[in-house]
Amino acid sequence: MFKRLFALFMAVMLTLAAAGCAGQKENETAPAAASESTETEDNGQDQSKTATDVEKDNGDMTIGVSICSLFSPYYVGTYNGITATAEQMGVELVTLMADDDINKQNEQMRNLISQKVDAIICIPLDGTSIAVTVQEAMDAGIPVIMCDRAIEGAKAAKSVVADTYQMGKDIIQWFVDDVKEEDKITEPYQALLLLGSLGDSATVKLSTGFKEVIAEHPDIIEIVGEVPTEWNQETALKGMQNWLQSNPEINMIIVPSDLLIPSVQSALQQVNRWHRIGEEGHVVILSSDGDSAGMQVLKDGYSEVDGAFDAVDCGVQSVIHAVKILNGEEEADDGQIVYGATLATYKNVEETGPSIWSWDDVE
Amino acid sequence: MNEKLRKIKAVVMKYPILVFLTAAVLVALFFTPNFFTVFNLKNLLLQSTDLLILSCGLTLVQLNAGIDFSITSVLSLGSVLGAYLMARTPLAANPLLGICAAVLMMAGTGVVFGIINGAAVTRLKMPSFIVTLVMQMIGSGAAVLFVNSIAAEATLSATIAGLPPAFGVLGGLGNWFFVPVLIAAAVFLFSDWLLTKTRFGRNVYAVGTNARTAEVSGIPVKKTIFLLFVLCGLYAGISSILATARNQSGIPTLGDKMFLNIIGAVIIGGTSVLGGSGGVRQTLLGVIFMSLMTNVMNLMNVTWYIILLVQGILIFVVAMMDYVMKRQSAYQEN
Repeated sequence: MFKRLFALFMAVMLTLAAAGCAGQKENETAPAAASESTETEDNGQDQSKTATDVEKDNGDMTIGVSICSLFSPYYVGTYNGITATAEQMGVELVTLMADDDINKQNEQMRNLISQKVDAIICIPLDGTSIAVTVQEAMDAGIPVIMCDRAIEGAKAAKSVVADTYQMGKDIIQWFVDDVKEEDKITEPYQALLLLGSLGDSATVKLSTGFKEVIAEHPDIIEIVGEVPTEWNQETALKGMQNWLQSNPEINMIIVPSDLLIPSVQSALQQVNRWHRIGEEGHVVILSSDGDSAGMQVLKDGYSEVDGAFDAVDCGVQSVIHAVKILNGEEEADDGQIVYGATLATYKNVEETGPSIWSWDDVE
Repeated sequence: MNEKLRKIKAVVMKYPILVFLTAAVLVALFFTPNFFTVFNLKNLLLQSTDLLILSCGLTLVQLNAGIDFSITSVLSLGSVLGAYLMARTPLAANPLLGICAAVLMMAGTGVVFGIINGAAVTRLKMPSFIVTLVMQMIGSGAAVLFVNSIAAEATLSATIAGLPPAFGVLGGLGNWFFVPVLIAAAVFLFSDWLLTKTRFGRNVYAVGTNARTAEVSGIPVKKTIFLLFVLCGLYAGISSILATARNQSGIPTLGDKMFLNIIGAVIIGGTSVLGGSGGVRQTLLGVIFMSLMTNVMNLMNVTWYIILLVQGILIFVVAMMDYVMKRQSAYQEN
């Protein structure tokens, strides 16, 4: 029996050690996977326009990255921006992913503080409830750069944030103006509004932006129903199927993230409503995020508009500001770099498309 | 020497988790330079508190071969209700009163859930698996709806912030880290005392081993099971208080991803899923192991999904050992 226990003990040791090595290996390969940085050998040098102004010896800098999720292509884009820039600048990264759990993200922030990283880039699930650990890090002398979502209730070193509320308003406003311009409205569009996770502040703000402008134009858009998706494609698909069955008059779907575009497409295909703009029975699709799935349907003429923040640049800027702060070239003053959204529309997709972060993956 | 070895063997047989624990500590020693720092150890202790309380509750229910899925929704619902009381009602003007009301509210939420679960299981004879799963759905749904309907409109946020700073004491913020640790220790010691030193405790094991026999020998089976669920609910309420204070906000999804850790700690500790054997001492070791492993792997920069994978494998191994040993001892008895 004792022998057997000893064997078990060794097996556990092996598993844990293997897991540790796997993690470290991943850490090494992750930056290399990011496309544009593979050729740079030394700290960034001339070919990188972003990193040239901060090319000092960053070799012993370690930046912790706390990211809420790596499920959506948008965050993968941001993360690629972070890893590519970090490699160019010769900064080491420690990444912890919170699997969409606020409590876990706070714990991981504390674990990063334990590790004594030099700075933290935080992409929070929720800007309010992360405040407590951001404050703890700042108090411990570790500057925190908020990426993508702003913080409420504490001061960070810098914030590189996307204004989702404004983007929501812009998207609907663009559509309203477009309809008025084309003068094609006879009766209000019957809209189905998809909601993201209700525990996610950026999404709640985006939906609020949508709804505020819709409320101002009851003659153009009317919300028939809402589908909470919890960012689950399967939930989204089922919700849409039910609504499209029971309310065949629905002729508009408002999507909080391109993550759900595949579900929208298959829901519409099932009821034979997946048609291009101009074809009979077309359902208007207003979306946001600008990932490759969303840009593809926009380019192919199925959707009207896609509002996009530059996911990759958000990550790039976060690393640059972190390094500048650590080198003493910039104050940790809770300053905000706010990102506005670019609206790619069915009218201007050929011009704006190439400026959207995911365009390389669009056919 | 042989005597000593035999003693060690006896301890290991009773607490097989010790093997894993030693392994984890050794890995921590060799692979993670920042493990043995005051900040990290404090951190580790804090992160274990609510897991310990929740797992003690689940251990009680599991000793009677039951399960309680609803504890995670008590965490979420308690969190938003308590935060709402402290931040968005007139009680906000009087922090101390607000905190007291919130604490009562959160613990009360747990007790109400426990009473419903217990009553359904003992009076309606429903399986705890179904009752508590339903209660979990109801609780989680209610928490999210509550925040989105009334509480959050003022700030456009998905959580409720603006809790009185004094509330942070219960979560161990600042220099108060010993407060939640003491609370968790008290819950643990109380549970252990209940199970090992009281008649109620003896009844729990008797009912868990064979409810029929227990009934025949005059043990109040229904009352015992009912109380176990109420206690489990209460513990979840207490845990909700600590977790809300530690995050300084009411979070409608607070408990959503926690159940795996809780049941993992209980099973890996060595409390049998079949009921009747185990206890909170085993669970304490399980909790330490689960927290330690996550902490160490975080420090080692291991991706979350790999942590999940390793945890899964280890839980499987321990559960398997439980079954094999049970079968072996049954074989020997025959």
